[in-house]
Parts: sequence; structure tokens; C-alpha cells
Amino acid sequence: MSLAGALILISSAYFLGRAIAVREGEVLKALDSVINMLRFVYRRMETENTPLYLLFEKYKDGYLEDTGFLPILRSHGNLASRFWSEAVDKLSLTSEAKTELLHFGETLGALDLESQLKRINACMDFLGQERERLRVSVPLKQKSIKTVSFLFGALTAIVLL
Amino acid sequence: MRVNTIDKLFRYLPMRISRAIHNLPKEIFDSANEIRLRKNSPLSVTVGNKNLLFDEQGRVCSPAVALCATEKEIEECIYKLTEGSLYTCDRYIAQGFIPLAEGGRAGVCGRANQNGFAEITSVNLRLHRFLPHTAKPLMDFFKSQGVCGTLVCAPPALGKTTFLRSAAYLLAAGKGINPLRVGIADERCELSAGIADFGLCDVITGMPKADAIALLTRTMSPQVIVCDEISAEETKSILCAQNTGVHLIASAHCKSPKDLLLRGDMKLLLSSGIFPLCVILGYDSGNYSCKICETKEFL
Repeated sequence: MSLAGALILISSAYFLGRAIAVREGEVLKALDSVINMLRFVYRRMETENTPLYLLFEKYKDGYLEDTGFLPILRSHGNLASRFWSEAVDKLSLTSEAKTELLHFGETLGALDLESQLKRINACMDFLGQERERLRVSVPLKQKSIKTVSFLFGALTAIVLL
Repeated sequence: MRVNTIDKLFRYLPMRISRAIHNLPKEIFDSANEIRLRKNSPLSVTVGNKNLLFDEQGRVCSPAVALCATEKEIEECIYKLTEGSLYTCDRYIAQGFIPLAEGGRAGVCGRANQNGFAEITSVNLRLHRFLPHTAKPLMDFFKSQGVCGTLVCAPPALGKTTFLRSAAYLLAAGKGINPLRVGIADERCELSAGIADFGLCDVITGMPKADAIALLTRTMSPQVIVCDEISAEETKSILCAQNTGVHLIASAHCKSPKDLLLRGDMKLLLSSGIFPLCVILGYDSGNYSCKICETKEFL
């Protein structure tokens, strides 16, 4: 195997590892986006008493739009909260975060204002804690994946050489 | 003008229930004006002053075999009524109703808490009908005798609101008389349903009647104010409006003005001359009746 082939093998392994690491990082992006959206919903609910379907229509977030989360909610108008679980399925989240969001969706739009705001707060708190936990672990995990994939590529190249 | 039929309310109902109502006999379907859902209890439709129970095939039947609404179906109904955002209707639910998007209201009741209802177990979907000529007999009277304060009396579900709606429209549109400036104090978002589109009246919705009457009198210079179901709470506002020369056309739950005389504040209103005229609505053998008489006959 030539040197050029070895370099190609190593760089392929590295970029593959990098792609996997980026995907791991999406969990943090998803959590950030959802928390920001819940914060927006909370503020508008509290101050303007706006219906949910209008809030989903007004809210803009690149990640939530690209994954299909917001489009699913918007396409069902005032029945949006009935399709909450279908929308949550589109997000890259840990199983704990997903479970919490699905549980949250069971009472979304079905509570009086005070209870609804409390529920949103509780969900944001949980997701915030999850995010803090992942803020430490995800970068380490990403680094490990990139390192391991690079080393794997290098080792394979050496063996073949 | 097409008269509303009960299928206008299907968008708020679970499929199983709207299918059963759709199968009701035509004469019931065309004249029903209320659908009542109760958790784990028989549904009913109201026709005139009758409550009819029916089975899943739409056949009128006894309570033992009647179609019952499940807890989930009540929840679905509330969800649709509140457009998936129950919190937006908190203040209305605390007063026992949910306004419908196209006008009209759904009455609710259940297990109360300090904010409203911890659980809603009954929903009464009321179909509003705009029948513009219902109050024509009253207009004919006004044409010959002049407009004056009028009290519309009837037991529940006999068309008081439909009558008032027609009166507001005919007065504002000038049907048979010169058009008047009409203000509507529509506390339960029901009275103006169907006539708001004509843009002929000044409407306040969702505000307590006493405040709405006072506000309309002070700021909109109405010649007539129309409101539904007056009670002792509105006495002061009504007396103030009377002093400004505004005619009031209102309704009260009673069989006749004689029943109102037994209630202290209502007796004061009737004795004060605010309502020189009474309209007594009735329903007998499938026919609605409307009798116009002077209040002094009962004093």
C-alpha cells in the first residue's frame, strides 16, 4: 500500500469520526433549541395569553425548522399539541430528555394558565439540567471519537503498509 | 339567510357523537338548539323545551340505552372548544362558559376549584340562531307607539336571546323605523353572534353587564342598549342609563313579570318605569308565541 493510500485511509477515518462527533453534538443543539422555544412560549403565554398554534407559527429556529419539528406542529393548526410526540420524534435527544418532553406533551394545552406555566417551568428545569450534564460529557465524547477514529485509521494504514 | 342547524357544532364534537346526532330524525335535527354532554351519562339534545336522549344510531330512546359521553370525549370536546389552548379561556371558564369561535357559547360545569373548574364534567353546546324577523312584532309596536324600554320574559331555552338578537338587528338596520344607534352588552359572547358581521351595532363582549352598560352609556352615546339575562347586579347601572334617556331592551328568566316582582331589586326596576313594555315568550304544542303587553298591568 502506498503512502498516498495510507494518508487517504487515515483522513477518511478522521472525517468519519468527526461526522459521528458532530452528530453527538446535535443533542446539545436540540436541547438548546427546545429550551429556547419553551422560554418563548412561557413568556408569550404569561404576558399575551396567545394560543399555542399561533406561538408555534411565530417562533423561528433553524434547527427546529430543519428537523421538521416546527413544520409538523404548524401543519396541524389548533390541533398542534396532539402531534407533539410525532414532532419530538424528529429531534436528536437523549432518551431521558425525550421521555420528559413526551410527558410534557400529554398536558400541553390542557391546563389552566397557572398550571401550564408551572409545567413549562418544570420541563425547562429538567432539560436545563440535562444540558448541563451533557455540556461536560459531550465534548469529551466527541474528542474521544475523533481520537479513536484517527488512531484506528492510522493503525490500519500501518498494518497494511 | 340560511338558518343554522346543529351540524354547525360538529367541529367541536368527537366523531362517535356527531355521527349519532347526524342520524337523528330530520325534524329533530333541524330544530335542535343545544347538545348536552355529561361525563359517563346520557347525551341529550334540546328541542324547544324538551330534552331528548338518543342511542348510537340516532334513535330517540330511554336513559337506560342512551348514548353516553366518555371522559375522553368530554376532554376532546373541551380541547376543540379551546382550540388546543385551555389556558386562553381561564377567565371564561371561571364564569361557566367557553365562547365559540364563530359566536355563541358552550356552558361548562363540573368540580370547581378556586380558579374555575378542576374538572369539567358537563358541556352544553348552544347553537345560536340569527332569525332576523323574530322581533318584528316588537318593531311593529315601536313603529306605532315609539321605542321604549322592553323586558323580554321567558323560562330558559325559549328564544329570549334569539329575540333580542333580532331586535338589535332590526333597530340598528332601521327595519320599519329609523335606524338607531344600538349598543350590545354581550357578557357571554353570545348575543351578538350572527349580527356582529353586519357591523351595525357597538358590541362589548366578555365584560360584566353592569360595567358594559355603564361604559356604553358613557362613551358610545347609544339610543338603545340590548343585553341578556339581567339580574340584581345590573340594577345600579341600568338606573344610571335610564337617567341618560337610553332605552334598554333586556331579558329575564321568568314565566311572567309577576314572578320578577317577588325579587326585590327586580321589583325596583319594574316599578321605576325603565321597562314600560313586556314581551312574554312561550312554547306550546310545537309553536312559539310572543305576547306584548304593558308592564303596568302586572304592577
